[in-house]
Amino acid sequence: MPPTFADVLDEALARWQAGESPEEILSHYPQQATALAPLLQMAQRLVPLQATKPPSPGALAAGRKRFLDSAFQRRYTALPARLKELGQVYRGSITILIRAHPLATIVAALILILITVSGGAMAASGGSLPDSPLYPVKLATEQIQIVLTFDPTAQEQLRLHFTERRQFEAQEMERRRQATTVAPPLTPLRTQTPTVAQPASPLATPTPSRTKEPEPTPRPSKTPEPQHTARPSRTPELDTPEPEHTPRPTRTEKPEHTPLLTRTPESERTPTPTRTPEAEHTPEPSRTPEPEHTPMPTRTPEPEHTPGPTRTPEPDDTPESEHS
Amino acid sequence: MSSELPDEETLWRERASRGDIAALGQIYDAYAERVYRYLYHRLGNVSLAEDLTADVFLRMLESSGSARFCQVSLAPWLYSLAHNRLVDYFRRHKELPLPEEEDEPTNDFLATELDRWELRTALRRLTPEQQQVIALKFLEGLSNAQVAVALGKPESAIKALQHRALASLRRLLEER
Repeated sequence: MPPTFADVLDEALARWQAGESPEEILSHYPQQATALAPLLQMAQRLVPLQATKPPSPGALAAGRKRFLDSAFQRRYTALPARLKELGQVYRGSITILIRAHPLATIVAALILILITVSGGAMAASGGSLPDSPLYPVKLATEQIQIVLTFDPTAQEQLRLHFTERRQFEAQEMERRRQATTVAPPLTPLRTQTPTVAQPASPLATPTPSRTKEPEPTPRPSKTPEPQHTARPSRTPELDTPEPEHTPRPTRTEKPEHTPLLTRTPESERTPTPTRTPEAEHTPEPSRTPEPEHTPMPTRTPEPEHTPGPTRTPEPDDTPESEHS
Repeated sequence: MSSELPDEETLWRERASRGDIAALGQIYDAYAERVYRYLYHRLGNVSLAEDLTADVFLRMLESSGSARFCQVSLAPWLYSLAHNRLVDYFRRHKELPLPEEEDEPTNDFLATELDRWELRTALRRLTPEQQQVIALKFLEGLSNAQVAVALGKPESAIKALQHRALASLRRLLEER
C-alpha cells in the first residue's frame, strides 16, 4: 500500500524536527516536493510561538492555594450535600411511585397494615381460652403451625403440645366456672331460706317422703359426719331466730337441704362445689352453736333409747320420734 | 509527559479521587507550568494564561470524583480541559488579548509580536481538532502517539488532521 500524502508530510516534518534542512527533506520526496514546501514553511513559521514568557512568581502559587482551598471545602462539604441529594432522591422516588401507581401503592399499604394487625392478633390470641373471641385465631394459628411443620416427629410433638394446651384450657375453664358458680349460691341460699322456712310447717307432712330420700343415705354411715355437720351448720342459722323450736328447724332444714341435694345432682357431677361451701360454712357457725346445741341432743333421750345405732339414724329418728 | 511519572501519576489519581489534598497538590505542581505554557502559546498574554490555568485546575477538581478521572492519563486530559477553557474564552471574546508591552519595545519585537498575533488569530479559525493538533505537536512538542491519546484518535487520523491544519493555516495567513 503506497503511503498517503499525509504520511509523506509526517515523515518530512519528522526529518525537519530532527534537524534536516528543507532542501534536504524535499530532495527525498521529488514527486511531492512542490506540495511539501509550503507546508514545511508553515511549520517553520510556528516556531516563534513556542517561545514562552514565564508566569509571574506568585501567580502559580496563588493559583495553587486557590485550588487546594477549593479541594478542602469540597471534601468537607461534599458529604452533607450528597446526603441532602440522597434525601431528595428518596422523597422524590416515593412521590413518583405514588403518582405512577396509586392503586399499587394503596394495595401495598393495605397489605402492610393487614400483616401488622394479623400478627398482633396472633400474638394476643396466645393465652386466650375458648370463651375468648380470639380463640379461633389461636386454633387457626396452631393448625397453620402443624401444616407448616414437615418433620413428622416435630409435627407429632406439636400435636401433643397442643393437646396439653387443650387440657390446660379445660382445667382453666373449669376453675373459672367453679369460681363463678360457687359464689352466687351462697347469696341465693340465704334469700331462699326464709321462704322455705315459712312453708316448713305445711311441708311437715311430706317430709317423711323426703326423709326417705336421705335414707338411701345410710351411706351417711360412711360419711355421716360431714353431712351431719352440714345440717347443723344450717340449723343454727334457722335455729337462732327460733331457738325453742329446735326440732322443727331441723326438719325444715332437711327439706331445705334436700332441694339443695336435688340440685346437687348437678353438683354431684361436680361434687367438690357442694362440699366446699358446706365446709366453708360449717366451721364458722358450727363451732359457735355447737356448744349450745350439743347439750340439747344430749338431753334428748333418743340416744339413750337406741344407744348403739342411734348416732347414725339420729337425724331420722328424732323427727320420727317426734312425729310419732 | 505521562510516560515520565506513570506510577506516581496513578497513585496521585487514586488518592486525589478520594479527596486527598496532598495528592492534589502534587498534581498541580507537576502540571501547572505545562498547562500555563499551552495557554500562553495560544493567548500570548501572561496574566490571562495564569488566570485560565487556575480555572483549568478547578475544573479538574470538579471531575476528580468521576470514574473517568481514574482511567485517563492526566496530561492529555489537562490539555483537553485547557482547550475547552480556551473555547469558552474565545466564545465570549472575539479578539485575542494584546501582548504585554515591553518597557522599551524595539521594532523587531513589534514585528515579531505582530506576526505571533496574526498566527494566533489564524489558529483560532481552525477547527477545534486542528487547533489541538497544531498546539500539541508544534507548540508543546508532543509525538503523534501522545497527541493521538490526547484526542482519542488513531495516529493515522492525527496525520491527516496535521496535513489539513497546516494547509488551512497557510491559506488563512495568505488571505490576510
